[in-house]
Amino acid sequence: MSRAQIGNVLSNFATTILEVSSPTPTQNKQYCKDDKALNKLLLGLKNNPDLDILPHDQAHSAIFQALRVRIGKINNETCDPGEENSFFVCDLGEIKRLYANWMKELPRIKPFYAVKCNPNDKILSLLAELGVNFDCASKVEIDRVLSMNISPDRIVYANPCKVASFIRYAASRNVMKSTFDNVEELYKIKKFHPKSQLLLRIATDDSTAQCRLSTKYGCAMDKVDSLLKCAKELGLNLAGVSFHVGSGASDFASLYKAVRDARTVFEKATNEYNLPPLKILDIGGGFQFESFKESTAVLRSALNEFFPIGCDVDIIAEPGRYFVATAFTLASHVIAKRKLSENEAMIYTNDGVYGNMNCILFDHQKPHPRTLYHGLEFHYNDFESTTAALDAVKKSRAEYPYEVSIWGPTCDGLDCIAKEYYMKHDVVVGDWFYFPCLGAYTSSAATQFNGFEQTADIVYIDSECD
Amino acid sequence: MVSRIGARDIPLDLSAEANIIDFYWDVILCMESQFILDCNLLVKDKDNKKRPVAKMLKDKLVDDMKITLKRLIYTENTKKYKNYDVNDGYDWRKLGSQYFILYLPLFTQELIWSKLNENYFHVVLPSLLKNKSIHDNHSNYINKEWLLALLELTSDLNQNLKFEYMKLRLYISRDDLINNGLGLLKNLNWIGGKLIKNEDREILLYSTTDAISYLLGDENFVILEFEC
Repeated sequence: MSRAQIGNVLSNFATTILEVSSPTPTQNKQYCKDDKALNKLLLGLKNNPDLDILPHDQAHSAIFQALRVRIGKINNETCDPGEENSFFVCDLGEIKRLYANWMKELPRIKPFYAVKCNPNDKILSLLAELGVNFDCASKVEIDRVLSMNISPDRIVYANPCKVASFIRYAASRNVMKSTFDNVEELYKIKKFHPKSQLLLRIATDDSTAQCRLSTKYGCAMDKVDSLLKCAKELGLNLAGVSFHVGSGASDFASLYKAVRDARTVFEKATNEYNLPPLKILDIGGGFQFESFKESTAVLRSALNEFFPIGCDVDIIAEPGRYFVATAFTLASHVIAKRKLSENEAMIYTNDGVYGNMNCILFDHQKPHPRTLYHGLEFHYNDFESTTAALDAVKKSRAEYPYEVSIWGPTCDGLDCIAKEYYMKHDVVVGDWFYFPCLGAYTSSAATQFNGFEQTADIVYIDSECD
Repeated sequence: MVSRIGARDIPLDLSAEANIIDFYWDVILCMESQFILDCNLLVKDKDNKKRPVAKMLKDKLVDDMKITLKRLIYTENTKKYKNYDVNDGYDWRKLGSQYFILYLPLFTQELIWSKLNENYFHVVLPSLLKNKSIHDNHSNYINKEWLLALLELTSDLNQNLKFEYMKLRLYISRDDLINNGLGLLKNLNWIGGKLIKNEDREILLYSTTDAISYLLGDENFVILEFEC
């Protein structure tokens, strides 16, 4: 099915009239899909095989080449300390392809990259060149972006837990766009940053998300009135509405409903509180490469219905992992092995949760180890060299005879990369693993130790140029 | 806890200068004893006698306080601490320049012990899950109000002390986190929390000779750091 055909499928679902409770007679009716129509739309997408096809493949040959060259240079007998350290291969070309894909699927939406996801300078610089703006959550992130001569206009300060000092800091750096979700925050903003362009963050249904945000952040729809009233009384500059459906969501109905709720707040602000028309809709983040086609199809449908072209609203988003996850591949070295039985072992590598696999604790990711180098051979292209569950891939134990748990280098019980994995190869000390798609929430959250920021060792390639 | 580690547990008249100094020592003792790896070592024995560890800890604190006070000599002309080292404060082993008892009743009914070491505000969260109190349960962790209160307090401390930056270090019971899911960590990531590696005990073996230092450790905690 072509894109045009998908568009037709979406527009063919009849829109029905749904009562939306509102005290103002002029707002009694909203045109939107009822649950039945919405479910039909989602089911149609789920059953559409075209949406399962990934937008593009990673540049495997270029990544493999970079891994092979780097590891080939290491002489295990004579290498200096640090040479065997884990390292990333970062494909800048992948980020360019992802940006092009974003513009193809969501041309109306200006992305503000979530810096916390991976604050690497080269990435930030490339994204800035491409025209991406930035979502900053701390003073350090704001400083990092501004130090690249990027205008504060291109920053949204979207930390959902803002301390007064952060608000003061944003004001001192002329970062104007900011989110809020409670009355106390409004008083702080009135005091320290009264001209800020405020985005009211509403809660969403994030029950299917792997990282659930709205249970903690965002204002419930029944509390919106009190915030609008307070913003009006304090004379603050309410510029728009924001939401975040959580990361790793599997049911994109929440996206549709959140856009619909945002529209309700837009109408309420103008019609019930006589606030100037809101100008910005921030649809948050949570986008993933694997489900991008499906989530954006739902999103386009919702936006066309509630914020159609020409509605005079700027639509922005806060994608993080979408832009970087697939651009990074981590290689780590096997430094120890403890045999438990003939076919069972504990494998220790030189990277773990206190290093570049911090995402295991701080995010919902489960890194997938694959054999990179074993028995004097590279195995990069064997994408099924390991499996987390035998049943899932319909593979037998005979094909994956070695059961391992994989651990980081510390003695900490938290430093576990994989509790149970099945491998084709009986890896030994000196072998290498690689972990694909590990660019999000990894090195950015790496441990600061002894006052020194831990920096990941990164080999950059550009598969679009090389 | 106060009585278990040998501090007095009778009401004090804090208006008397001598009493308030004793009270301050008790607060310091309570905070620092959070890092005793096995708190049973502090419990009085069956004859209701204090264990030697409590005495050793007290003696160590008195000795360390001498060093700390020298570190904290503030020079009005330069507006700096005389022996100040930017990296000093990150280490929980160093005594604080200020100690705090925090009470956040909507989060927990337990007192929260904390100390300020130059740029770092160290807060030891009580183990919520061992507690029977109705207020203390896992859902309290997944709630941003308590964290925001601590971040604001840390930020205010910096306002008063004018350091270049201020960071909050939270010491969270490892059992609480591991045995009851790691949801808290996944949510903290969104507001900039960083995981801090526990102390390297092997290095300690080579650098310390006093017995009480070996009995202190941070292994019972998962340590998180926040910029404020």
